[in-house]
Amino acid sequence: MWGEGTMKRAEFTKWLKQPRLLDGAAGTHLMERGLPFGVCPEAWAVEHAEAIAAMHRGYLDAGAEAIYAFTFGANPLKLGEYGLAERMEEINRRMCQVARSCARGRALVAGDMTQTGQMVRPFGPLSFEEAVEAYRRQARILREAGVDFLAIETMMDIAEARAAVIGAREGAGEEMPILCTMTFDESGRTLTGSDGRIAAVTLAAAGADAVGANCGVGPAAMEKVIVQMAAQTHLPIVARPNAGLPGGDTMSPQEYAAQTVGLMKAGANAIGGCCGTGFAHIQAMKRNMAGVTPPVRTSFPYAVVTSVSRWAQMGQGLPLCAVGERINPTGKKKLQAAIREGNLEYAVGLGLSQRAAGASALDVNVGMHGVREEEILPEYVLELAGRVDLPLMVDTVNPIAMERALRQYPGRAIVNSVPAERERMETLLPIVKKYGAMYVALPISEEGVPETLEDRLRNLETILAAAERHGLGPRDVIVDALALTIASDGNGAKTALSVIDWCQERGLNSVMGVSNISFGLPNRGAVNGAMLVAAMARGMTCAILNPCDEATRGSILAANAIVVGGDGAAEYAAAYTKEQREAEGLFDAILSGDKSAAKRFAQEELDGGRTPGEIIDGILVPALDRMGELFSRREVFLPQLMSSADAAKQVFDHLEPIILASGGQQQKRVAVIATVEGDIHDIGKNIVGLMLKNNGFAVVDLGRDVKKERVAEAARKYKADVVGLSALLTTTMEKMADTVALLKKEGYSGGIMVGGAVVTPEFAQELGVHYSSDAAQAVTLAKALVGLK
Amino acid sequence: MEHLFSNMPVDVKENTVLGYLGFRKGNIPPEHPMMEEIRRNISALRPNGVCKLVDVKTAGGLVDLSQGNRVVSQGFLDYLAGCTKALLMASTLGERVSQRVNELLREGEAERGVILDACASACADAGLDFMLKMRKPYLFKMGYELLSTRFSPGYGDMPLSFQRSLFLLLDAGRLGISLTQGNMLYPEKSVLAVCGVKER
Repeated sequence: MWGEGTMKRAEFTKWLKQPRLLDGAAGTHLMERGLPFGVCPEAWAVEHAEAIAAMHRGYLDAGAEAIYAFTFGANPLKLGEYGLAERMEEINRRMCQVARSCARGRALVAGDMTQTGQMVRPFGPLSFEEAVEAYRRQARILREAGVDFLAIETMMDIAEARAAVIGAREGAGEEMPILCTMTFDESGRTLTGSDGRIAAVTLAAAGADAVGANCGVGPAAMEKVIVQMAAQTHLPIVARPNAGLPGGDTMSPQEYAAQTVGLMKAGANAIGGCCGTGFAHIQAMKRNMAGVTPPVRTSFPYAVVTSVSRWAQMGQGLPLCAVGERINPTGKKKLQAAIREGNLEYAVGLGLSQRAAGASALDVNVGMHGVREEEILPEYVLELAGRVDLPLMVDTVNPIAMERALRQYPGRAIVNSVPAERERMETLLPIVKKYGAMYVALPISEEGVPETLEDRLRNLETILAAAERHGLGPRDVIVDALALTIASDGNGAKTALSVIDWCQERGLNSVMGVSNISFGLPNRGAVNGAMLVAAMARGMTCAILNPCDEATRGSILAANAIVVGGDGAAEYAAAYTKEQREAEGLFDAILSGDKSAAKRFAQEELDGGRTPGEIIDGILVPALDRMGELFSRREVFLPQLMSSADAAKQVFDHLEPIILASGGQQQKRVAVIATVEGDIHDIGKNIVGLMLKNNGFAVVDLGRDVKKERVAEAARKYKADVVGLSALLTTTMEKMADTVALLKKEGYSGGIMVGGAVVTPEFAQELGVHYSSDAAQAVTLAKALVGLK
Repeated sequence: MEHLFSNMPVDVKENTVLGYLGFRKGNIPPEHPMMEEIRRNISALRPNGVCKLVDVKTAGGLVDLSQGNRVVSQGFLDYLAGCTKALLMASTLGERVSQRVNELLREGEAERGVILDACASACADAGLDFMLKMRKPYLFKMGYELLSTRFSPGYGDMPLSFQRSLFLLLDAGRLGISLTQGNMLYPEKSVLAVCGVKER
C-alpha cells in the first residue's frame, strides 16, 4: 500500500515505467499563508500543519501521484543555522505524518531532502563524512516515518549530491528508493559544472534509483539536460522545472503544462513543478499528459567515467582513452619528495600538464615505502578532483586506501586494479560495486603472471565471474592486456594482442601500460608507437601512458588517425601545423611572434655576413617599432605585442654572446624602473621593463613597493638616463609625487616617466614629468627622452 | 551566516579574458592558439573564497555593516538603497599565480604571462559570481533577492580604507589574504566585494 514506507527499489522503478505526475512548489503557497521572512520554514510548518495539509490536498486533488513531505531543509546542518538542530527528528516525523495522512494511499509520499547549506570538499570546508552523516540521520528518520521514497532535490554540486545519495542509502537502508535531482542553469550545467550526462552517470554510480533536474530554469531550458540524461542512463528521469520565481513573472498553467509535458517526450518519466507552480499548473499537466509516453531509451555503446565537470568515454570506434601515468612515484624522485613533504601542489602540476597534453583521464598512485596510503591517497584524489577536471583512475594495492578514495571522489572513477586473487577480488569487487566505479581486471593470480595466453584468459574469466556475482557487468570492466617487455619475452606483445582480440570478441574494453613493451630497448618511442597502433587496430580502447612525451603524444594522434579515422587525420595535422607556421624572414618572424623562426633567421642573417649590430638596428628594432605602432593603433593587442617581445628576446639572447666575444658591446642607456611605495602591483611595470630591454636599454628593476629614497639612490648609482615609475591606485599616486619631488630635489637631470592604471597625462604634467599610457608608448617615450629618436 | 569555498570551478567566458587583454569581440578567431591557452588557464585557476551575510543599516549619510563598521560613501548608500542585508565576499587565487606571471615575463614567455595575468584577474572576479550563484536560491527561498550588481572599495567615492573593515568582517586572513599599510590586498589576484540584499 502506498504511503506506508514498504515500497522496494524495484517497485519504485516499476512505478516510474508509467508516466507519473508529482506535486508542485511549496514556497509560493506558504508565503501566501503567512510564512514570514527569515524564519526556518520547516519549524514554522510544524506550528502551521493545517497550511501544509491544505497544500498537499490541493496537489492531490490536482492529480499528483506523489507528494513531497515538507522536510526539504530539515537536515541537521541546515536546521543548525537556526539553532534548531535538536528538533530535527520532531520536524521530520511531524511533516511525514501530515503528508501521509493527506495521501492516505492515494499517492506516494516522498521524504524531501536538500543541500546542507555548506560546500563539501573539494569545494568547501565540509568533509564528505560530515555531509554523509547529516543525510544519514535525516534519511533514517524519514524511513522510520514511513515515506515511500527519498527525493533529494535542488542539489547544486555533484560532490554534495553524491554525499546525499550515499548518506541516504546508509541511513534508510538497501531497499529504500532514492531519487536525486540537481539544479542546472541556462547553460545546462550545475553550479560546479556538471552537465546532465555527468550528473546521470555519477548519481547512478553512487546508487540513485532515479535522477533528474529541478529548479533553476523553466521547462524549455531544462530540455537539453533531460535529453542528455536520457542518452546516458537507463534510470528513470524526473523533471520539475520552474514556472517563474515567486514574486516574478510566472508562466500560465497552460503554457507551463504544454512545455513540461514536452519534457516527457525528451525522456522524463515523471514531471512535477518547482518554483512558481501551483495547483492549477499540476492540474493542467494532468490534462496534457494523457497519451504521452517517454521514448524508449536506446542502449549506450560506450562506457563512461566522470569528474565533476568532464567525462571520458571508451569503446570501439572512439579515439583512445589516454590515461596519464605520471602521478606515480615509482622512479620519480621529485614526486617522492613532494609526497613525503605533503606537497600536493606538485601532483596537481603533473595533472594539469597531462591534461594540457591531451590526457582523457589521470592515473593516481601515491604508493611508496613509508607512506600511509590510506591517509594520503584520499587527500590526493580529492585535491586532484578539485583542481584538475579529468576523471581519475585510482591506483593502489591497499583496499582501505581504495575505498576511502572512491567514497569521496566526486565522480565515477576507475579502480586500478582487481587481480584474479580470491581474497583481493572479494575485498575489492564489493567496493567497486558500492561506489559504481569501473575496474581494471588484471589477469594475474596468486601464482603470478601467467606464461600462456590460456592461463591469462582463465584468470580473466575468474575475475569476470566474481564481478558478475557482485552485480558488475561487462560494461564496468577494462581488461588489462598486460604488455610485457619484448626485450626479455619475444612473445610479450603477441600475447597481449591476443588478449585484446579476446576482449574485442566479447565487446569488452581493454587497456595496456604501453611503455612496458619497450623496456631495455633503444628508441623506445618508436616501439611504443608501433605497439599502440597494433593494439588499437585489434580493438584496445584505453591506454596508460605519458601524454607529455612528445613521441607518445604524436603516436596517440597518429593511431587515432589510422585506426579510428574520422577527423583523426585533421586533428593530427592541426596539432603540428600550429607549430610549423612559417615566417618569411626575421622582420616577419618578430611581427608574428615566431620564436624559433626568429632565431633561425637571425642566424641566417649572421651567416650572410651581417653584424649583430646591423641585425638589431636594421631589422629587430624596426620590427619592434612597427609592432608598437600597430599596438597604438589597436590593430594588435597585448598578447601579440608580448609574443613579438618574446621572439625579439630569443634573437637578443642568440646575438649577445657574439657581441660580447667581439668586444663590441656598446654603451647601453640605463633605465631605472619601480612600482612606488605602497603599491604591490608590478606586472605592468615588468612588461615595460621587458620592452625597454628589447629596445636596447639596460634596465635596473627595483621591484614593487619601493621607497622614494631607493629610487633616488639607484638613479644616482646607475647614472640613469631615464626613471620609470608605476602606480596602480589613487592612494599610491601621492607616493609617486613624493618620489618625483625627491629626484628633482637631488638634482636628477634625466627623463622621468610615469604610468599605471590611475595615472593621467594631467597628473604627470602637474608633476612636471612625462606620461605613457602603455608599454609600447613607454618605449617610444624613453627613446625620445634619451635622444634615440 | 558565513560560507567558505575552495577550488571554485568558476565559469569564465573566453570573451571576458579577451576583454581584459584589450581585444574587442571578433578580434581573434576561436581556433587561435591563444584561445587554447586561455581555456587551459581558466580550467586550472580555481579561487578560494568566503562570503558572509550581514545586516545593513543606512542612516545619517553613512552605511553601517554590523559591528560598528561604518563608512561614509554616497555611492555605496545609493547602491544599498532598500537593502536590509548585504553579502560580503572575498575571492583569491593565492600568490603563486602572480609569481608565475612574472616568471613567464622573465623567461621569454611574456605572451603566455600576460594571458595568464588576464585569466587570473577574470577568475578571481568570477569567484564572487560563483558565491552569489550558490547563495542566491537559498536567499530567494527565504524571501530575499540579491542586487544584480556588486560594489567594491575604490568604486566611486567609497574609500579604499573600507577594504580593512570588509577584510576584518570576513576574516579574510584565513584565505591567505593580507592587507598592506595602504589597504591594498595581497596576493594581487584577490578581490573584496559587497552585494546588497533586499526583501522581496
